[in-house]
Amino acid sequence: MQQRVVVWRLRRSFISNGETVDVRSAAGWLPALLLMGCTLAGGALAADDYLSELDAEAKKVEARSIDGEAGTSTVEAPAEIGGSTGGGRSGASRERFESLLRQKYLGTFGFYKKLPERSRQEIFIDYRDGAPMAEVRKKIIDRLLQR
Amino acid sequence: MVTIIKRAAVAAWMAMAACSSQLSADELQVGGDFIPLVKDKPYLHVLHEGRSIKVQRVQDPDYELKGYFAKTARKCPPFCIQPILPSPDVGVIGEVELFEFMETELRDGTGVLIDARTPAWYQKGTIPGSINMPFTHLSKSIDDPEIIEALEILGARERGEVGFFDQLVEDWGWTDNKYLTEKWDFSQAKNLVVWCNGPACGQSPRAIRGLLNVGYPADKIKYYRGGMQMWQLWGLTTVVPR
Repeated sequence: MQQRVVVWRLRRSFISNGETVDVRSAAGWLPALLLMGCTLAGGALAADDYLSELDAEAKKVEARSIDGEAGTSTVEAPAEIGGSTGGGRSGASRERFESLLRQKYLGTFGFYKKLPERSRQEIFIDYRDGAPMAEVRKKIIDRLLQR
Repeated sequence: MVTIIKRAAVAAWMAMAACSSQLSADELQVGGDFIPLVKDKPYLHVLHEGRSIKVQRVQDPDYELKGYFAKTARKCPPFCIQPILPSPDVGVIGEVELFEFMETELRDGTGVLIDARTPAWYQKGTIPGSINMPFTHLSKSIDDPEIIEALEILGARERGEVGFFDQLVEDWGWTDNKYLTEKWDFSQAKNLVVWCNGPACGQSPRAIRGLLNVGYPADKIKYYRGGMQMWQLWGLTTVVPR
């Protein structure tokens, strides 16, 4: 919410100025625009980091069904923490990759959907070739921010 | 005359005995050692995914909670102990109030019990009667399709264009506009109880703040702060979604 207020105020001050903006004065806006971009990116990354932490924590949790009547607690072992990313994922399909993103990294999936098709294809190829998910997600954000 | 009075007294006593035995039928059935949910409430039933689930406490007095929710500490941030109020106007409830909610508003459809955790958590087990609405959906902006869908599921209605005079009347307070926003009518919106993993989980506070940001009335939201951690600590029934 605070980020949106910053954007609105910058825009209003620009319009209400009423002056013709030449290249020299436009350069003065660059730091503000960069700061705005960094703030937005920082917020997006922070949200993504939280989701990553949640996801990592969820892997530690056993699936538990408590049946009070039977006095039992049925527990399934938690998924193995971590995982091998070496050797590529030759069997991975683009649908499975996108499904994985949507299920486990919802915020990143939202960014991924905003990318043009060519970028999405490149990112999937990186994933299929064995790039760690952290690297894949960083690439998605970099592409979104034109970095 | 005395005989009539005596017979009436006996009949009254028998009627009272019958009523009291009816009222305590559950206690009689479950026995004196049964550990109830609360006094005079041994268990309750809720619907979950089309099944009737009996919510009760584990009866084994030697049962000890083990596993993830028995831990006392997690990394902070991000898993820090949360304030008791996610927002000043939102009420907080405990297990007793949640049982009451399950037997009244949840049952008659005027209430919704929301598991605000991400699906990865929900799939590990949830409180019976809960639906999964991740906080990531409920934190979206007012124009996002996911939040629009969520609000409609929760009983809110989009208003469409409001006429000039209708708007004036509302602004002057001549109509009951307590549950009206510019875009949404929350007058028929359901009462919500929102929860997540417990006092050190930020997911449901985020969901609650997201709902408030899009205009959901604060008096229709309650925060079950104990969450899954306290629910399991009490040995209460959980279900793993299908």
